[in-house]
Amino acid sequence: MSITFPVKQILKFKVPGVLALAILAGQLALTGLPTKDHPLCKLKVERPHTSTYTKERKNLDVLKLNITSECEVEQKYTILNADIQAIFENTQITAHRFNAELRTGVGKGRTEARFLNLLVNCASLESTMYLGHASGEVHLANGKVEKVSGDSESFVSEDCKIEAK
Amino acid sequence: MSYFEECLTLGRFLSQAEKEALYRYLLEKNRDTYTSQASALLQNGYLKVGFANGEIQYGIQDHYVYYTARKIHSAEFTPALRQLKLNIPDFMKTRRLQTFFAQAEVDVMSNYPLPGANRQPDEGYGINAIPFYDLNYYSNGAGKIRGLMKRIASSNSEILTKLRTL
Repeated sequence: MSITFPVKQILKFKVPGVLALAILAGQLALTGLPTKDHPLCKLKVERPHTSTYTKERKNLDVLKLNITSECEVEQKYTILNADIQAIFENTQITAHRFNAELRTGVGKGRTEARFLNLLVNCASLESTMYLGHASGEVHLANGKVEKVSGDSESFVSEDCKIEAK
Repeated sequence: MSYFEECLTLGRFLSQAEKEALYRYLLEKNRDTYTSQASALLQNGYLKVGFANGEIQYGIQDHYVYYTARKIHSAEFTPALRQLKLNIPDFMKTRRLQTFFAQAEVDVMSNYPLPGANRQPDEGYGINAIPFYDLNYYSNGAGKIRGLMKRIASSNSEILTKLRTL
């Protein structure tokens, strides 16, 4: 006597369309929709330049670095570690490292923190190539923290030589 | 006008070296005032002080002292950006509060200076992320031992001498 299994019946699953959609919706609810990793904040680092205002007011030759952290949402404050890179004798070095600074958010919707007075004295007026660089973190009003970094993109010559520390 | 009075008008144009010297100068010059302020703050848990073109409100909460500040006649206070632990023996609290008061006053004079010749940029409230009473400031976050050595090396700056004499 031979035994025959109802193979066709065992392998044939039937899931109603509504149930399939419900399973898919449940899975999305658990894992979330796939999101693109989109930074909410960015750093705008200007090129280091000699400050005419400080020369006029304090009679000091200084190199100035302006940085703005710009966000798409309200920020509480930004903490930055900024430095100036220089080319001395054909080698790139960190010519000056600023102390870590904190600024509260300003502007419309408090989306910006401005670091407009990072100054370092010129030791001489010798022409030197500089680049501004910074990294830090933005503390958003919603409690989240965003890491940021940036630089002024290219080395530009200024008539100021700062004493490398 | 004394050099200190001039510093009260410089605001954002105070250099790091000037702020550091001002911190030490205020700490030695206002020792008695800060002692009185410390006992008032410890007793009431709250203190309000005017300095330069600003107003400082100190408070104590959960064993921490903090401050908020605003420009005189302005409506809005800054968030509490600095705080310092006070869960230490009572006899050490006054000294710790003195350093906190001096730091807060340097912060306020660089943000809310007295009217002067310098145009102040619209930057929001800005401070050194590491305060002068923390030795990490002197090593820029590279450790307290290195910071202590650097602090000793720079203990008698020209600016501090100028503040004491001019």
